[in-house]
This record gives sequence, structure tokens and C-alpha cells, in this order.
Amino acid sequence: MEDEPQSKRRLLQQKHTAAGIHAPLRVFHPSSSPRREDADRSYFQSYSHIGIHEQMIKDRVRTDAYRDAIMRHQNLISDKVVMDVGCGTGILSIFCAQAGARRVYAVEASEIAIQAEIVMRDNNLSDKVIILHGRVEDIEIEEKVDVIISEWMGYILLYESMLTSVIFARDKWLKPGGLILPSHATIYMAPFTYDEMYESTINFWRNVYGINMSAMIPHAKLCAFEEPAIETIGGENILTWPSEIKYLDCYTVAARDLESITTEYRFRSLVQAPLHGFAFWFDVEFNGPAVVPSESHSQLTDGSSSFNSSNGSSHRKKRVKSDQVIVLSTSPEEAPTHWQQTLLYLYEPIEVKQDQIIEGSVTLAQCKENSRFMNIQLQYRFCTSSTGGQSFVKESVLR
Amino acid sequence: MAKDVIEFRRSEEFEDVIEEEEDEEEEQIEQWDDWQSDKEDSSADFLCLFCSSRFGSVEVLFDHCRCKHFFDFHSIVREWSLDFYGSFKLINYVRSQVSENKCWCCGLEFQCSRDLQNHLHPAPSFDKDGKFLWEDDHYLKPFMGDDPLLHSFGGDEDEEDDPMTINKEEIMRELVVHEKLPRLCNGGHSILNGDASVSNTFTETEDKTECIHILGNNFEGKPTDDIIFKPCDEKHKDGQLRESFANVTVKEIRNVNEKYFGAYGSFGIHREMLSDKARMDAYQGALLNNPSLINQATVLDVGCGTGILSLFAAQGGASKVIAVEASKKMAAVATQIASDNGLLSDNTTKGREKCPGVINVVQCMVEELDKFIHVLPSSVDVIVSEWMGYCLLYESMLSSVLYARDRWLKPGGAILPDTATIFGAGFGRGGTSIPFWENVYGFDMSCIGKEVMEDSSSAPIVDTIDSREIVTETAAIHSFDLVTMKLDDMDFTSSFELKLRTESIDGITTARTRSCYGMVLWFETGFTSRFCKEMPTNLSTSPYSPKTHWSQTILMFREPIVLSSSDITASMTGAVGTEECPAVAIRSRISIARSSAHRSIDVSLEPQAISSDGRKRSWPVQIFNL
Repeated sequence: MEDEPQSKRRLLQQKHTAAGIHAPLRVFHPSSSPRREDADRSYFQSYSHIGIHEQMIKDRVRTDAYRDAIMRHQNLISDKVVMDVGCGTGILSIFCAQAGARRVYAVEASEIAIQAEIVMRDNNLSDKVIILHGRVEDIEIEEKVDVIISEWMGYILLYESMLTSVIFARDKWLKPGGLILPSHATIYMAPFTYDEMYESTINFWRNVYGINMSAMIPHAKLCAFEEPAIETIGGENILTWPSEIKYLDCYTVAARDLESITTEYRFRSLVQAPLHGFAFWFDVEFNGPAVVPSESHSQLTDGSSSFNSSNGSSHRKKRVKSDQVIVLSTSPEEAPTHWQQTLLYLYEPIEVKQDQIIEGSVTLAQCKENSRFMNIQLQYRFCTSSTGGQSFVKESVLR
Repeated sequence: MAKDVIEFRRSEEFEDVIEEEEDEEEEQIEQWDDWQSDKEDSSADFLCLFCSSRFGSVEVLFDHCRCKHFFDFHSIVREWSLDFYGSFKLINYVRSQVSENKCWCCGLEFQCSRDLQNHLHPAPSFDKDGKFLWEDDHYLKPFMGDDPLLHSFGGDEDEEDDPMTINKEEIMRELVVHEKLPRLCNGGHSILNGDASVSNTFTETEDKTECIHILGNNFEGKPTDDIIFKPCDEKHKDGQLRESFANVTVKEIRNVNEKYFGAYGSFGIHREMLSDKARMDAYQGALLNNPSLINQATVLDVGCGTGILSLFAAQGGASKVIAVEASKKMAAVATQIASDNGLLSDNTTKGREKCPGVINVVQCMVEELDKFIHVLPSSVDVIVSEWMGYCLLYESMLSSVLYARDRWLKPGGAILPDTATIFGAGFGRGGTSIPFWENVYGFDMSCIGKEVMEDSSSAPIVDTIDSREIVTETAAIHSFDLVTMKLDDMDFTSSFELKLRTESIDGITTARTRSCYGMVLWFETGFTSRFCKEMPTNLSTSPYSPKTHWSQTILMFREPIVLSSSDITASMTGAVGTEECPAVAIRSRISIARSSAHRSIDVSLEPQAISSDGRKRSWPVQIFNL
């Protein structure tokens, strides 16, 4: 019986059959190296699998945030030229057309582009929305664009790393001073406790229909905790104020900035609880091009005055965002999204006391084997008042 | 686990085992098992450097370290020209690092040994001129009190001087390789970055690295020792050596774990199955509530997994339970669980007050059971198995159950479950995702819904369907009697007819015309009164029953067929099965056959719509591959 990952967003290596619909499409043939092509092909095939699109559109938090952001920036979109990077079924392109865009170039490498083309025709938008079936790196258009819109975010923001395609599009096709939606993105991290999950996956084996199956526990732990899990937790599971792992400005970020991200963190536990692991999530903001991000955000004090930053990047625990800014958040505190949260479990829970310091560093790095995979290396240390505590490492791969 | 197997062989019931073969077989069994329990054994006293496995020979141990832990003792010794004391210190150094959950070569520290074992990776390039990590003389002190490895690791200098079979040409090649090695090692990082030139160098030196490996084995191994060069082994070593040049990559982490824990990835499915209440209750009920069947019976559990059915059988009073499991890891786990619950048959408990258990776990394919234990033909009272797959037959173990039945079941013996039936029913629009795509934020995306239809008209979907979406009566498609059926009966063709479901809610009969978009298949298995005299039971995976982990299997028609109840008079025009002329029944042949791909099945469907005046409309045959 199958052991299929629950998450639809993950690579589903299902072969897609183009449905025999022949629409006038511009197909661009990728010209890059064959190796990269292969990796891309399976990725793009998985994206033409329709269940994913259904799931993404049904994620109202996501789709509504985009629609609101497009309507909010209508003055910058109306009568302008838009590029939708990775348009999927074309829903964002339609929103832009609705907001008055003069033309939308909707770029999509997977076979879903064929359906997107028909969707535009069925909704009488074929003259405004031009579907370009190909990779954004390969397409050619005759004008620069005023706006780039894309839903490029993956788990922990960067898994599947479609941001590099957005960066490519920005550098090649965006007019100076153009708008990028979303404009900014932040990765957060916090330790969590999740007794229910631990009970159901691990302690489950202690009593199965009255039978002691503890022998399964080591295996069950390996099975459940070796790789990062995509699960939904709530604010009550989070033990501390979150720490910001990375803040990205889509107007300025470069592809090389995404290859490896290392940040030190320091948490002070707000409660006494068993710590089961570390949770990661992200949010994205939809700002205009003029906003200078470092000044638009203030820092919350959280009682951990001893917090120090040693790698030079600013450590904001939690940014206050004005009501003016539209934020799509995948935080455990907010309504669940299809991104859920990414949980890195430790093999053994650790009992932390109130005010206990948990510190260390985390590295998110593009996997060398497949650039859409992500290596996560977590170093952590539990400090007691007297000692510095022993430092441990946990390595895992999001695949 | 091997021990249990052996002891089982020795148990009274099977004394007619041929004695001469025993030693030979014992040895064989030993090799199958790399999951030694902590029971001491004179032939297995070399403790692995990294995990708790024990081995009977140093070479097997080093092979294990190389394959499972990326620690290639021989090539490290060779690469850094370690003498006897250097090798001696290396072993003690690694043991001391591992005891602290530290990586022996990069020094990272882990919270537990599992984290460390996940992390272990081939040695990176050490500075040849620099000091070794194990330089310190305190590593001359054995880390473990009694470590037989230290006097057996094969660094005998006499043998190194032995010219053996090395010819000049090989020595020359070795020198060339040695020159290249440090360079390659330093290039480790660029290899990872996909530097093409380095990769090319790699390919060129492939054959040479293999050569040096063979040389190395000749150096370290004792000529009289039991080193066996199997061709496949060699290939493996070659690959391993190449891996040892690169730093750890995802793939390697993955590979090492896969090798290590075998099928551990499927543990999730075991939890899912054990959490499947319908499944568990049916089997538990059959085994615990039918004492006239189970009490004092000999039970054979085919594909025991965690062993839960065997445990139920033992609880139900079986006098002997043979639990057969092909997966090495699951067999080990089942053994442990049976033992933890005091239900494992074990000679060592004999003579003690505690009554020995009755479960014997045997790790093998049931077809090969005779090679491992002796079970008299026609000596088993009850065969129990949870063999059902999706759509009953996909990846099912039915053939193994039938094999076991024909070989070991007593005449008149029981099979649990003893019947299996496949059912089908038609479903409506709500069972598809078509409605969703018709209105997406006010936009018409129905073209995507059509695509879904086309896609699923050749690929079945395994999912649950809401019983409210079912528009036809249920049709029994095919039944199997496990007692009498033959292996070839697994491939069958049946005909069935689907008629509109007459449904009345609060006395009002609902829609009399419905579109049928496809059909859903499910199965039930019976633990009938034929054997379960006290309490027969039934396991259903129907959409009308609580969900099970089998879900249902959904087959989509190429186009919807409009159905109406027979009292509506259809117009004589228009195609049958359309709004103008609804069908009164859908008739179809269905074939389910094992496909050429292992344990996969093909389903073919030939739907035909029948109008009230007897006209027929057929669609081309649809083939689904599950």
C-alpha cells in the first residue's frame, strides 16, 4: 500500500497527459543544460497535476490575500503591463485583468498552461492575458513590464525555490521602479510543543488493542522525525516569541542570497513544557516599490533583553505591520493555509523551564543534488542558569 | 531473531528435522540477520563501531561499517598509511567519539545516536601532513574493556610484507592512484558543486580506485581468512569508494538510512492499519470471540507485519502460532513485540514458572517457509491473513494465502477471512471535482474539470466517496470463496447492472433523473459462520460504512450517463444515456486481472446504457491500470 506524502504541493511524479486540446500556444523550448532540464521537467509535470491547483485555489487565505493586494495596488496595475510568473490556472492573471491591466503575460512551464489558455478564452480575456507556455528564463516578449506578480512561495518559503525565477524576471523584464507582488518575505522560527502528535505517533505503540508494541517506537521515531514534517499547529503550541530567520526584499534580493542562509537564534521559553522540535513558517507582504523596509518595521521588545546578534543581520522577533500593508501569513497564530507549518522534530522531547534559554543557529541551504530540495542544519543548545549547556546538531532534508 | 528461529526449529514439535543440515542452516540464518539481539554468542562478539550490531567476523563488521556508516576502515588505513598502532588508536578514537554521539571525522555533536547515525558520512580530505584526530596516545588504551576487534582487525605487518599476488603493473597503478587521491579529496567540494572537470577526472580513475581497493584487501586480510570476493560485492565497493571522496549529500543520507532500516519507511502504514478500527475490530472479533475455532488451534499468520493478528490468536487460546513475515525488520519487530508481551515461544523460558508463549516468528516468504522451519503438510487449523489491497486485489497477498492453504491447511481447516466480495455503484456529479471548477472566484474554469475527467478515465483514483454522492443501487460484482478458489480465479470477468437508487428522504422521493459520472468499487471480507460459529463478523470498506485505510477505488466514465427510474417513458429520439433519453440501467462487463507489473492490476470496463424501450448504447472499453 502506498505511503504517499499527504501534501499535494510536494512533487508528485505523476505523468500528465496533455488532453488532446490543441490551442494556439507559444511553446518555448528550454535551452539550458540537459541535467537541469530533467529536474525541471519532473517539477513542472507535478505542477500540471490538477489536484494541486484545486488545493491552492481553495486556500482562501492565499487567494484572497492576492486578490486584495491586486485591488489595493489597482492604481499601479490599471492600464499597465503585468507579468505573472508561474501562473498555474491563471487566477492571478485574471485578477490583474480585472484590475484593469492593459496586458498580462502569464508564464507557465507546466501543461496546465493549456488549460489556462482555455480559461482565458472562456472568460473572454484572451486579448488581455497572453499565456506563454515555457520557463520564464526562456520566454521572449516585446516589451518590459510594469508589474511582476507571482505566487512563488514554498514550504519554509524557499523550498521549491521559484523565487529565483521571479528574480530572473525582475532583472530581465521589470521596468525600473516597477511593482513586485509580493514585495517582501520573512521566514520565522520558534520552538514548539506538540504532545498530541507525540502521543498519536509514538506513544500510540505502547498500547495497541491492549498489546505492548513499544518495540516499534525506535522505528516510529525514525519514520516520523527524520525528515521535516508539514503539519498545522496552533499558537498554543509555540513556546516562545518567534525569531526572524531571514527577511527578503524582492526588489533587491539576488539569487545567490538564497543558496544558503545561516542565522543565529536565541529563544527564552515563556512556559515550562516539553519541547518537541522547532517550527518554521513565513509571511509575505504586498508593498509598493517605494517602501523602504528597514524603516517601516519596528521591533517588539519581548523581555529577552540579553538577545544579541553576532552575524550582523538584524534580529527582529516580531515585526509590527501596519494595517495598511496586506500580509499573507502562514503563522500558527493565523488561519491555516495549505503551506501549514514546517516542523523539525527532535528524536527525544526536552523539558524546558520557564525563562530557559534555547539558542543556536540554523542553516537553510539549497540541496546540491536537486536545487528544489532544501537542507536544514539546526544547531541547538539548552542553557541553564549555571552552565552554557551542551550543543547538538540536527540535520534533515526537505524533499 | 535468528535465535528464535533456531530455537523454534529445535522445539519439540519439529524434532524430525534432519540433524546434519542443522549447523549449515544455522550459519545461513546467522547471515540473514544483521539485527542481532544483545544475546551473547561466541560466534558474534565483534561489536560495531557505530551501532549495537554484533558480527562473527571482522571482515563482515568492516563491511557493515562501510556500507551502513560510511566508515571504510581499510581505505582510511591505506590512505593515511596507518601502522598497527595508528589503526589501533583509530578504533579506540572512533569508539570514544561515538559514545559521546560525536561524528568521528567532523566533530559535530548530536543529541542521540540516531541523529549521529543519520549524519555519518564518508571521511572528508584530511591534511595528510597534519596530525590525525586519533594521534593522542591515550587512544592506545582500549576504549572498551574487552574489545576483541583490537586484536583481530588485521593490521598484521607480516602479512603486509607478503608479496602475495600483487604484480608490478598493479603496484604501478596503485602509485598513480595514490598521487591522484589527495587532489581528488581536496576537490571534494567542487565535485559537489557539479564541477564537470572534476567529475570527469573521477570517471577516469574509476577503474584504478577499484584496483587499489582489491590491493588493500589483500594487504589487510589474512590469506586464510574467510574473505569472499563476490562480483556484486566488488561493484559495491567501487561505488562506496567513490562516495567516500565526496562530502555528505542528501542522497547519501537517504541511502544509508534505506539500507539501514530497510522498509522502515512503511512504518506509517502500519500505524495507519493498526488505527483502522473497522479492520482491527473485525480481526480481533473473529480471533477472540470464536473459541471453538481458535482454542488449542495451530494458526498460520501470513504476512504478520507487527504481528497483531498472531497476538490476537494467542490471546484467543491458540496452542501454536506461526507468524510469517518477509520483511526482515518487521519480522524482528514482531518478534520483539511478541516477546515484550510474553507471547513469544522460547525454549529458554522452559522450566520456569512462566508459561512459554506460543508465537513463532519466521522471517521469509511464505512460499519458502519449508526452508526455515518444518511444518507438516496439512497440519494447520487456521490460516489468518490480512492480505487485501486497494480494490481488494491491488498489491494483495492473496496468492501467498492460497499457497499456504494448499500446502499446510488441514482438510476442513479455516481461513480468516473466508469470503471476499467486490461491490460497485455509480456516483453523481458531486463525486467529482467538476462543480468546483465551474465557479472559481466567479470565473469559469470548467475546462479544467473536463481535463480531470479525461485524466481519470484511464487512471483509477483511490479516495473515499461520500455515500450521498452515490446515485445507483449497489451491485455485487464478484465473490471469492477463499476455501475453494484457485489462484487463476484472481483474474475474472463479470457482468453487472446499475440501476438508479430509489431514495426517499422524509417520505419524499428525490430526483428521478441523475447523471452517473463513473463507478466506485469497494470490497467486503467475511468471517462467516462456516468457521466463526460463535460470532461471525464482516469487514466492509463500503462508502456506507466508516472510512478505512483502503478508501474506495473510483473509476470515471468517459462521459456521464443519464439515468432515470424505469417509470419515466423515454423519448424515442436522442442517444441513450442523455437528458433526451435517459437510460434505465447501465450494464457493463468488468474484468480485473493481474497485470504484467508485479502485484499491479488492470481493470477494464465496458459500459452500456440501456433505455426503457430496450435500445442500447455502448462506449469503447476503458482500461484502468492501478
